Amino acid sequence: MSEITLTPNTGNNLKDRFFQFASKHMGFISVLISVLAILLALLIGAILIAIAGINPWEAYGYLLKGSFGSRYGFGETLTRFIPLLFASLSFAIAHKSGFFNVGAEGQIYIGAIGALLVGAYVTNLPPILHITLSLLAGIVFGALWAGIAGVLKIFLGSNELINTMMLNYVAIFLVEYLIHGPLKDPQLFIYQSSPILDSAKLPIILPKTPLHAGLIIALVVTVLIFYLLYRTPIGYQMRTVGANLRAAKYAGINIVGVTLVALITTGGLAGLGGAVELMGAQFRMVAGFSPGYGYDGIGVAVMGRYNPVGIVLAAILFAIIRVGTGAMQRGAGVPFPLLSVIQGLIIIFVIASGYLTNKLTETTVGGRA
Amino acid sequence: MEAFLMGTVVTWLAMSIRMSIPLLFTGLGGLVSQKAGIYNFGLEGMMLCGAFFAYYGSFRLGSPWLGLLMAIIVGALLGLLLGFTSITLRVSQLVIGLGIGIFGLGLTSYLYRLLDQTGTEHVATLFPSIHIPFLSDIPFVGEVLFSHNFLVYVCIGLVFLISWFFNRTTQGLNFKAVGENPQVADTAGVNVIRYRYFAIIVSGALASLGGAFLTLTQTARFMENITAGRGWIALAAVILGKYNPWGVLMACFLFGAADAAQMQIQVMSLGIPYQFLLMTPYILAMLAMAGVVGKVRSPAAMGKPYVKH
Amino acid sequence: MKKFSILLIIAMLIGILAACAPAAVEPTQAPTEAEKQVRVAVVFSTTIKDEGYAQAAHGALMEMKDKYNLDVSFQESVTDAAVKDVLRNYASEGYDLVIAHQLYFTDPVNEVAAEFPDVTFAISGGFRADHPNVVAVDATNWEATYLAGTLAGLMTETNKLGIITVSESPIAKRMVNSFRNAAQAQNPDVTVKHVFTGSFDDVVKGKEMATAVIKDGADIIFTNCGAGNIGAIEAAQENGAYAIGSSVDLSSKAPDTVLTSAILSPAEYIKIIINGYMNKDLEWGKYYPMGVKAGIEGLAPFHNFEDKIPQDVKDKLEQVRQDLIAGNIETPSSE
Repeated sequence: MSEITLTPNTGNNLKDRFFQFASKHMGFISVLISVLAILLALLIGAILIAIAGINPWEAYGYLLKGSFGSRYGFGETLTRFIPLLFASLSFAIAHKSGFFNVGAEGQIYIGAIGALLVGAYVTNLPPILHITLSLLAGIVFGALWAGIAGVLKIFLGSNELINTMMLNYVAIFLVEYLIHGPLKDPQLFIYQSSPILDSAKLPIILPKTPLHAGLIIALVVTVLIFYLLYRTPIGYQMRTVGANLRAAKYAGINIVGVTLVALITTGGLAGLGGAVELMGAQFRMVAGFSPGYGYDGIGVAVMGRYNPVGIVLAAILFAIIRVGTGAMQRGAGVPFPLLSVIQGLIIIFVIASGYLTNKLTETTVGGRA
Repeated sequence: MEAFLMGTVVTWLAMSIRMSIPLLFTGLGGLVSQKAGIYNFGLEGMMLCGAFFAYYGSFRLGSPWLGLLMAIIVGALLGLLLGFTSITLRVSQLVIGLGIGIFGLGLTSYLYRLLDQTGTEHVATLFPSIHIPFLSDIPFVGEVLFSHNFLVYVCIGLVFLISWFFNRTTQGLNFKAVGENPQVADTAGVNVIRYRYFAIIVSGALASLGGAFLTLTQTARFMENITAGRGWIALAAVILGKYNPWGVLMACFLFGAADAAQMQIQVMSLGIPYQFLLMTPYILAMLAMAGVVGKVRSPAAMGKPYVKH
Repeated sequence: MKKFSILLIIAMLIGILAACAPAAVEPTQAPTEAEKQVRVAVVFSTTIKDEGYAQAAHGALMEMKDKYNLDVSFQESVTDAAVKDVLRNYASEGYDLVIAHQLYFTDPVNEVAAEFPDVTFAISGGFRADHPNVVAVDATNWEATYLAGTLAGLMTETNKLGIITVSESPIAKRMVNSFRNAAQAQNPDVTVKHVFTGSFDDVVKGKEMATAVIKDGADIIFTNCGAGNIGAIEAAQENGAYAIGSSVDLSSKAPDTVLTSAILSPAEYIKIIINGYMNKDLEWGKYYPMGVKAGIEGLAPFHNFEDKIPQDVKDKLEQVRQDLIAGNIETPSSE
């Protein structure tokens, strides 16, 4: 209260008070705006569901119940949250360093292959070592895969948006080849890889749910990544390169070196995401290993405004949508395509609502200046 | 043997053209918006909506022309949506585009299901392939070049038109300025916002036409997700083509021809694992990027919203 | 402060959503009803508008729903990544019978079934039942194709046939070998080209792939590539070739082009499972591969071609059918 009386203002006290509040609690307000946008999208969705002849309250009840209203649903949502978080971190760190990586999907597949090679074929290791090595293999494979696009960019100036996109297609066909041939489980009729050994499996951390220790890895990595980005010299250099290449050159930053670090990190993160998904949830490589986590990760990173809390919240939102829409189909019989419509609306509305947040930030910052 | 080889080559070339054209329509759509400084990541969703509404218009109203018109209108509306969010609201073009993709997939699939409830066959009326006297009958050349649907020629015509527009007209040059340096363009009296809106609406309509080509000339039925990722390939073709209409044409043809070639190679049964054949278009695109295309300079203001000062 | 605000927001979000939750837990069925409805759930890997495998099964599910007044639920487009969770959800939500309609769900079902011994599971199109509460019902996936190959071998004039699949799974390979063996048994000069589309959705790719095979000289193509079947049939229609459909009767797509279809009766698996569960005449814990003998597989009616296919061809087909029933034909390899 005292702050407000100190402010030398005249006239419009209420408006000033609002801006005072807004400038202090921008995080709170931006989340509030997003929540309102989600509710608006859900409202339109409710109308569509009602037109389809289904009770929208019942349908949304299942969305809630299915995604965190039950112990299992809660565990399932957090399990989906893990790869989404990795993918969005991968996109975010590349974006901050001026590298446009839309290739997380392919890097997830290749990272998982790395983890599979160690997890399924290296034997007689104690679990702690086996898990560590498998995770490392995931990081290395993911980083190498992203490295293809990176090397092409650094040495030939090739556009990384195209290359990372093309590498997604190549990765998925490559994995399909591997599980048909060299990595096929010889004991199975269908084409799937052999499972990883028990010593490479991540433990379940919430019994009677699929939630595995990957959650802890994901959260620790999130903290580390933002520490790297905002509290270390290399992080500062990465952000400088990302924000203004010319200024970075002028400041004498080793652009190639910094870009390489950014590449290893972005590919390594997605690869680690693939490894964790394999070792904690799926255990085998199959053709549809990642149902688009890499692409969702882009949405998560942007929606979360590239900050750690925002990304975690956005990843939870995407996980709730993934899990909850399944429950809406099962429980209320909402047609599958209608769920895509609602999902699209949520994304469009939340991103569009960013306008208000930006506007408010500008006004409050401008007001203070 | 020679006749067989000739036949294979003719089939391959004609097929390459058919496979390239939907990419080219959509790619030109991407080009127009990117020239004005806006990434159109909604190409896939717009293309899918174009495919559905062209199909719907054609079988419901009985005329492929009305289907075509419907596709153009829907595409323009989606362009307007992307324009409003990226130009006026100045939020992420990338994620709104992804959102349009998911929304478009859901919308078209849902509408298709509503249509299909009766279980009767809904077959769209297609545009017939043309037959030009003399030209179509020339061996080799006739089948490769003069046996297609008229939309194929419209599409090539659009390449000429867009190329002429950007290089030879004042408005075209203004567009470039809007994409390169909107501040300067604005000072020179160009209405940046209006130009960008125009570009994104045209972009949506063209992307939609790419989808319409699929359901008005290639197959008379709609299927859920019929575009199967072609919009993304078209987006890649814009950059691979260095933001030049002729470049985009070459890039789309590269994708189309590579895909057609891998199909022909499959028919030859050479024993190469088919997964490697299926990945060739993408690897070729990367090789072309590294070898021939080199550095691509995007319009300087690409992806950056314009704020008038 | 900031963190507190965010927690507050999350709490609000949960609160708002929770406000609509109670509607969900209200029983939809009147509790006074004497006999409890049997609850059946089906998991599909594609959408129910795939013009084939899942669509036919969905139709059968709706038929069974009316027949037995079942409480039915299904989930579409379930990915490999999510299938175990979907199965566990159904099992814990009190469904009596949980069916997975996809070969690739065989392992997940067996895994989840062990966790829920009180729930009955079935794999429609599966190949293994490890537990007493699982049943796997499948076609042989080659017998109907053998009949199709016989017909194609007898009818081809160019001695070239084409077969289009999405990928090179062992099942696809067995199907191709079956088709080839059958055609060559009738006509040793026949060659069969096997090509892949790589996509379940891509109609146009199916069409172009078929066009390539037809331009190469094939006059009959056997198509088994998801939504691409529609495109392949159109290609045959435009280029004056014949097509043989798969999974379900595709004659209506082009009555003067589709000779017949190799029926794998995905609809029948669902019916067998649900009928078997309701009438208690199917033994759980077993794998049932069913083919021509069980009436699960076979050729669809010839429709428009009824008068155009010569009697001696029909006689040959009948003879091969009898051989299949008698088990005189060796199972083709899946290599």
